[in-house]
Amino acid sequence: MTYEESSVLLVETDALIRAAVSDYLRRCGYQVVEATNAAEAVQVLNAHPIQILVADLELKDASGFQLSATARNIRPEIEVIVTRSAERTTAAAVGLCKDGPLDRPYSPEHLIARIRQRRS
Amino acid sequence: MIARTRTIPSNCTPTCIVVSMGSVSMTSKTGKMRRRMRLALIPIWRSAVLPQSIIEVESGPKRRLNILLVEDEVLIRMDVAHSLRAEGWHVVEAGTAADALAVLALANFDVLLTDIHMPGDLSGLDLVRLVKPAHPTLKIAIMSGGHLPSDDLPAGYNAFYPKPVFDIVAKVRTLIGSEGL
Repeated sequence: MTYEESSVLLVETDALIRAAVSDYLRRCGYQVVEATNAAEAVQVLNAHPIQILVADLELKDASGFQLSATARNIRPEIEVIVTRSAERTTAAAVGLCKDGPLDRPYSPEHLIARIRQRRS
Repeated sequence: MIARTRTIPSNCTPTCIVVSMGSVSMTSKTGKMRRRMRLALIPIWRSAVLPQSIIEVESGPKRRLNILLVEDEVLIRMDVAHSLRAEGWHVVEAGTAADALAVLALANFDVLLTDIHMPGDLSGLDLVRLVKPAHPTLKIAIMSGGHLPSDDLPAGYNAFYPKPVFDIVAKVRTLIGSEGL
């Protein structure tokens, strides 16, 4: 298994947000590794050449900013996106997926709209 | 069986999963599961921001196999999930039994692969006991390096995979058998 191209490490506590966003990124062609906390993320960063880190600000064992500093020490070239909510995590995924999903069970706009509709 | 009420449903025998305002719990009419009911309380309100359709994207006759993988060791989970996805299957990952319960409350799966020993109040065996009554057709495989099939394992599981698990794809194919998708 290699994670050398277009590899994203998604660090998100919430299982459903993690599943939905990682699914979306995979449909965009990214290789996605999921971590539930900072400790798991560091294990992955030490083991695989991750290119992009998407981390929730409020993790159980560290802040997203602390994790981003650790990630840059391990992999100085890594691109880091720290998010603060499900919407911003989703927005980050949409930003990474500029050309849209390879297959389209839903559009990015639809994804955002559904989340906002649920929250309102 | 799933009910959106705090009241225990009349057909809740012997156990059922109750989804209420902000929690998922298991309970029973007899009261025998009271202690476990408290242990099973998990926050679900944060998860509720995402609609079921986003997780359960696979439907129809040509849908992919939906697998829920529950494993707390991230590198093992990553390897197993990668192998399953390479087969074209749809995999949702959970790091704890509580996470798995939150996912199972909102989406349907064909296969559950779960470790036994994980962080939190619930083990993989608790997870199997909780979900099987509500998901009777779910194919369940238990993975562990420390347990062998015995009377300690809960009713309702379909297979036991000793760790390390080799050739997980072939094992899942055997698990789903003629119902393969």
